[in-house]
Amino acid sequence: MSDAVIHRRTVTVINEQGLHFRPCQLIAQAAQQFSGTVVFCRGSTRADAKSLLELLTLAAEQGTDLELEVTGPDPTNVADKLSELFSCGFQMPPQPA
Amino acid sequence: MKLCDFVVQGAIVPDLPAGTKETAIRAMVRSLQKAGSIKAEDEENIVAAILKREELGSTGIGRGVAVPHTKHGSTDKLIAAIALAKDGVDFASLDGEPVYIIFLLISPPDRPGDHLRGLENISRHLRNDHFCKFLRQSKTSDDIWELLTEADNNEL
Repeated sequence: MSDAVIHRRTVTVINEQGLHFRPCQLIAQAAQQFSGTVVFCRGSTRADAKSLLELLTLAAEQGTDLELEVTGPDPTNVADKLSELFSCGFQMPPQPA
Repeated sequence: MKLCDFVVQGAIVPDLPAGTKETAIRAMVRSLQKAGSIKAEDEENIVAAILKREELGSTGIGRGVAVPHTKHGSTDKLIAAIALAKDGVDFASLDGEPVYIIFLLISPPDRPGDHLRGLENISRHLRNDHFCKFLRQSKTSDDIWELLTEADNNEL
């Protein structure tokens, strides 16, 4: 079934403050719109992208590469949308965090 | 980084009086000031910064927990206060439920990595149901400090 397709890619944290609270909120809100599974990996740490608490455990600073793994319907499109958040630096002003 | 590295032992409030998000934040910032971690003249400015951050989106993350925070030049290292609110505080949380556990963080603006590691540490422990349950059952500052020590040592 096409539902079983897994899409993997690497995304890089480019914003100066890293994956702090608000970027993680934005990621979780975006991921929750998809019916499939979305996971970010940093080394041995795996975080469900739909969970703010799990995303915060990545402690990803500026320059960190994360492996994005999307399973479910239309995974490439899902990965594209999440990658856009990273590539635009979450459209975050530097302060407040 | 461990919880006991940045939680200020003298800024643990085990019995936050019933009140609002703002009164809770004020009480916690006051506890940091009384513990000597921030100066009295910075107190109001820090409260305002934390409340301004809350306007951008609540830090009530569900599971009865909130993590209000700010980056502020008045401190040169990451510091945190902990409060328990037995009656619950309306934090406009994501899940709409009251908050019973509050971690308040203040970090220096030029050390985003420390801020991230503080959030990571707190989040990792909050994922542990035993930690949340035992924390809510704690009655005194000493109980809470002992629990933090046990959590740091992976004894929960």
